[in-house]
Amino acid sequence: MKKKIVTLFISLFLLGACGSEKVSKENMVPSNKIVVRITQDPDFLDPHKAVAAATGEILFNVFEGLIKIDSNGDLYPALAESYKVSEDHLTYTFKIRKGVKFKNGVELTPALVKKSYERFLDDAFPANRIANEFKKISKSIEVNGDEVIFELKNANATGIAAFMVGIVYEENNKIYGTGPYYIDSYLPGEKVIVKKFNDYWNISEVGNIDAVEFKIIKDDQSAIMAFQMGEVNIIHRLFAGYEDMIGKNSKLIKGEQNLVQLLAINNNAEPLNNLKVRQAIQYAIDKKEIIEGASLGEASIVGSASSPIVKSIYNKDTENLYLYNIEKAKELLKEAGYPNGFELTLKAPSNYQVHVDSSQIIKEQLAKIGITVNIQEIEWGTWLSEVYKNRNYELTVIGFEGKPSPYTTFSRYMSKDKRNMINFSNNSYDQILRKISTENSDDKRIELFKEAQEILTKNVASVFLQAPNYIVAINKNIDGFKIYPCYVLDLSLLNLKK
Amino acid sequence: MFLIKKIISSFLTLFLVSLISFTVLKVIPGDPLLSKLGTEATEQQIETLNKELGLDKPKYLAYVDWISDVSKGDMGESIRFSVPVNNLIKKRMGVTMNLALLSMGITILIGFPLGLFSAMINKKRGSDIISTINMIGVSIPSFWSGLILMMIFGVYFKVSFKGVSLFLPALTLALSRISITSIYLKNIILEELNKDYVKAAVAKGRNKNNVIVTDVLKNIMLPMITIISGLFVKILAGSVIIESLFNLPGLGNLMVLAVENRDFPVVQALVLYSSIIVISVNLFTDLLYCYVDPRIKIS
Repeated sequence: MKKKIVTLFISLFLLGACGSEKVSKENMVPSNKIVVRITQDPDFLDPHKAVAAATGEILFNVFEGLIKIDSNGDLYPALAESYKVSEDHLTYTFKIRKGVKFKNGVELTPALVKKSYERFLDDAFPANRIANEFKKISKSIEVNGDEVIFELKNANATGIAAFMVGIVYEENNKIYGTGPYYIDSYLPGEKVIVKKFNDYWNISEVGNIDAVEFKIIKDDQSAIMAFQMGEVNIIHRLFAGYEDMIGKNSKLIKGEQNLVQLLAINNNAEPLNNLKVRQAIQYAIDKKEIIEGASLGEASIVGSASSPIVKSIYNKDTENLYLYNIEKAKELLKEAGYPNGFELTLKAPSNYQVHVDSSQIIKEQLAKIGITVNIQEIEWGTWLSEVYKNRNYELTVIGFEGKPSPYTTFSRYMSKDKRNMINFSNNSYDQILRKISTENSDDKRIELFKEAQEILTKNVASVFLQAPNYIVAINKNIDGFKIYPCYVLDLSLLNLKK
Repeated sequence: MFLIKKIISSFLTLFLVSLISFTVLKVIPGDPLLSKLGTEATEQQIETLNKELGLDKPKYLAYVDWISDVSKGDMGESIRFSVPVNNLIKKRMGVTMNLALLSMGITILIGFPLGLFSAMINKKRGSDIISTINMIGVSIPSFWSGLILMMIFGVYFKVSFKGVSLFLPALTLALSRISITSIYLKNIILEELNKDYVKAAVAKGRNKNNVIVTDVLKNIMLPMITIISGLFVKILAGSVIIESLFNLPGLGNLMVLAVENRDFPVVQALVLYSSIIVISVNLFTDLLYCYVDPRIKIS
């Protein structure tokens, strides 16, 4: 009996070993394959539905729009060969590129472009923000020879960027793109595998990577371990503090990113609805200390809701509107009627270490002016429903991603916007944004954007803290990586050294 | 009769588990659609999905719907991944079962001899060292020891995880269990040694260790079965942490993912399946008792 049990376990042991060996062989098959770490599952592998920034990272390589963005943030015609915009910014004419194929072999035609747009114009379609915003302004789409003509209801604030929506071909509930890679398989909770599309219209510009596995690893520590062991080749978006751990066979690429971390203040909550209280908090916060402490110096100070990386729009003067000044902060609290301070609760999303660390520093800083901050770490799911949706909070620390169209970045602070989680309500701000959406002159729009930022900062809508740097850990043998000003990982640029 | 009673009570337990897991999930804060769609979702997108998934129905109706589907073996569809829950679970079942069995094997292969050995050398030289090691083993949390093992094997010795991909997590999972098992076994044996039959045997001139191997082991079969069945359940529970740590595509990992995303159908199915496993293990243990010790009557 005992012998039998022992043999049983030994054979199980061996079985376990055999089973895993098979997996490893399978993983080695395509020669030019790399593994990229991602932190979460994609929400939808569909450019008209996907909302998570992290999904865009993958889909950028699979679906292309009439217009595409490059690593400088400039827009260029992709599936359109060229385009014309009418004087009044109401008619956009795209000449569709010839010889473009979808993954299933179907050739791209102007009629298919129209069909792809009509797909999400349908009211029953659960369209995401980009698609939805387009829906609001679209009047008619017409095909004329090799051109597609879009008529808009009103001039749109996003301009040509509105046409970045991916073009898809739908057949039997499956969708196909025209991009340099296609989705080969998706195992929920495990990985997404994309492979090179050999009939891609611009194949000569695509590097030598044949397959990419986007491996889902939530835990940072485990991801670093996997990277050190060579199981992962790229960690996209590494937060500061791990640089020393990545090992010799790799390099770090750093750049600014279009992301603003803010101490979000609920403008409706007592006593934060008092401007003087918010100003006191603004004066009491030393952003430099937060950058040193939470991001280990890998970040730049921001004064407003836009990251400094968006150079044309960013209003640098906002950085000097409130400089760190404890005395002034105390005075303002006294004027507001709180000479002895008060207590506040800060709900920090526990899955973001940098936000939790920043919260600790903010707690210390606000203690100096008599405000006691109680930090409540809550998990992401709870944060989304409690803080974001129900707006049931006083303070929180969060990062807002900037969009290719600055209007979308700023419209979230309009009084009635569903994303206005800080309950900021300011008539002149709303008016300025409405003006931006109908303004045709670029210079004037930039002026208006700068004015909008001044209002946000002056009224301390929230305390805009830092734009964390973007750090990529990448295997030494991979060349060509470029940082984009939005959430994108361009696989077509990568080359594996032999 | 005993069996029928047991099975009826098992179903009652399952029903209660399903009811509790369903209510608890609806009460805790969090919204599956928000978790899926994040902060950039549009109102319309949320509404459309809400209707599509039937989340707008009253809660008691939703429970009735769910339970009637479950009784047909249909666990519904995952909100987060839009695939049938059973498919998700089927794919991951193997990994978790292999991990649990392998880890149980390691625990028994090391823990039982260690317990036996430490009982034999009790209060002699060396026994302190074993109890110290055991205490350390019990105290170290597995998420830490797992990282340390990864560092030692993966980073310093460069042992590839491939080919032994389940070994390291199974070892981590086994580490603390080994200590608990051996401590427990040692105590049972020591207790048994105080009994009259052992004293009599020793007084007759037999070697104590010899008595342990020939007589005592036979007499502690029942507590050993309890240890093993308890071990299996505990290892299954421990796999939640270990699978997340080692990024293994098993049920534990799925559980964490599903809870984080408030993916109700998946969590409910996992809770239900694990309670089925626990209940059947207990039932099996009861039956095994009767087989091993016929003095125990089924009544």
